[in-house]
Amino acid sequence: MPNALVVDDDPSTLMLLASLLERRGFTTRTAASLAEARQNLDPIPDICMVDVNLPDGSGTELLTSGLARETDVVVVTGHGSVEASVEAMRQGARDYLTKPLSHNALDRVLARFGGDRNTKDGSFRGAPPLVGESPEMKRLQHTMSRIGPSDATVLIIGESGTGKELIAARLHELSPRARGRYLALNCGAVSPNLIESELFGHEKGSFTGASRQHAGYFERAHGGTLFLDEITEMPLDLQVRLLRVLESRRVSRVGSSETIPVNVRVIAATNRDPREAVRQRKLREDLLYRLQVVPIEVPPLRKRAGDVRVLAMHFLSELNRSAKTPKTFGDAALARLEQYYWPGNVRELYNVVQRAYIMTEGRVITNPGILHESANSPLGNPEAGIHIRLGDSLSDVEQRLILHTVRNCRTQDEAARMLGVSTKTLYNKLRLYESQRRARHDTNSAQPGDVRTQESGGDWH
Amino acid sequence: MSERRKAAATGTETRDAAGNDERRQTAIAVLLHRVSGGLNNAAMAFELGIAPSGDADASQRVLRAGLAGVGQAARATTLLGELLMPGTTNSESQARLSDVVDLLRSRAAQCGVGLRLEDESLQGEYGPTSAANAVAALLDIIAALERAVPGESLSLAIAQVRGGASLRATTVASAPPR
Repeated sequence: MPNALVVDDDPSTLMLLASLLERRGFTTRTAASLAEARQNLDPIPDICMVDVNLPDGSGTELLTSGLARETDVVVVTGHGSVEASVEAMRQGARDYLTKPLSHNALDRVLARFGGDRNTKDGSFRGAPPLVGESPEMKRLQHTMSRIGPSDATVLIIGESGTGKELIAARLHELSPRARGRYLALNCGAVSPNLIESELFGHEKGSFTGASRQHAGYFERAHGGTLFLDEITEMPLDLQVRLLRVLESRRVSRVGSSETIPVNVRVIAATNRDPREAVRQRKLREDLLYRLQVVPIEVPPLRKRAGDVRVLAMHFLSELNRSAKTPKTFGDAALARLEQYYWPGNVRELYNVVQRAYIMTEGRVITNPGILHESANSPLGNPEAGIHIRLGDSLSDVEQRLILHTVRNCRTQDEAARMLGVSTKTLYNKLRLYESQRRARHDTNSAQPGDVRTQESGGDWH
Repeated sequence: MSERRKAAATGTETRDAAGNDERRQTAIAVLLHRVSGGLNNAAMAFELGIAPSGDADASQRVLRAGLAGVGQAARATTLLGELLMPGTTNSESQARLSDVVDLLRSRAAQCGVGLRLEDESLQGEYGPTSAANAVAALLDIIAALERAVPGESLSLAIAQVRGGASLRATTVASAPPR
């Protein structure tokens, strides 16, 4: 279940916006001021909807503090603040909405979070198509066509932003359960204290604050599919309970000894190497075996030859269709997109295309405006290696090699092994680089005239 | 020479008129924003209210917020009417000083000026007043906010005048450090 932070100084607006998001499957936190919002950033929300006019400043100040690098910030404006919204887009906001919020506008912005793909009557709304013509995607689609109609438990493995949730929804759509509900829960986004009652439900009075009986995800997904994202973030004791439910097909609510039969297909996903997660005691081995009846590996975008162009054109055509515009990519812009390494995968590509679409005033998009890295940056492309020139300092070369290796490994452990250092040493180095990067960023922010260079402005995580 | 003729001769009358116009424009803008905010909330509430929901309490809460939004917009429209065409609003219509205080708080925040009520214990219960009083208070305090320097703090007191309660700015002090 994705989580949202809503920031608005009007209590009614705050409550209504939060309700709208909750109806779309989000868990919500609210803040009435910038100061309150800053106190509510842990854990980092999946989306932050922020009003421009707040009592202690402009909502766009959250963008300059670097939040936009870590989450999607959507600026919400009332009457007459569209100019401020455009400025917010320039500063990295993902989108803006004007009040009153329409169904369509809100759904367009929230589409990528997939919190609730069911219509209000509970039936499945349908998964967006999986776009791609690379051999890797063809293979994936073939595998899905075989697995989809079965009732097998599936474990989807892939980097962040590769579309694991989309694949889960598509598997549901291909299954005989397609008429049933499809529910998604991000195990990393729900507090460990709440996840048990979210999954299995609770009885009234079973703990402080349980003022009514609550049906958990398993019960609500009865007859359908439950997608458990970031499964390795689930507490280990709950993994035991999950395993028991998968084996027995019965759940008991928190505070009850009665068991309820459930008929749910579980699809889980992780962006970690599951074997590594077992070694690190993040995932129980017995649960891994139970989940990966059928494992699906989703290739990162950089390994999907030709798909960047196909996806970029697809996203642009979707944007054109919804706004009835005829924008196109210039050749140079497409070439630039294809050269980039896409560490954030399809999600990052979508954001870049959307931003370029909004920021381009004419018909042809000439600059895709990749914010964080240059496509030509040696850090941006693993195949390019790193280039060392006479005169480069040893510490600079070391930093570039470390960051380049981290980028190309699934986990920091793997990177540490490759570099021949301990994980702790690698972690300390990365922390040092991060603090240096933040210091540079603060300095640059304090001097608006400064132009950030590729190296100093590069965002490497 | 009368004060008025003296002002006209020295040009201060023109400046005062321009200042009044600016204040009126500011007041119109904040009132329009209030109308729009209330109606926006009502629109969101109706969207939520017409969708089926198993939670009756939540639906009630949402609809009450929508109703409050409509009320807020209606009251702001009355003040807008009084501002644009003084004397044409229904003389029996009661305005809420709490609306004016809300508007001023947000305006003060935009100006970087602190704003506090001398008697916060009233919690919005300032007694009934007329639309004309509310508009006069709004314009007066907007003027006081314009005179204040960012970082200063304005103190508001409730005063009883003909037609009901009103507001006046009493002191301007340096804002306490945050």
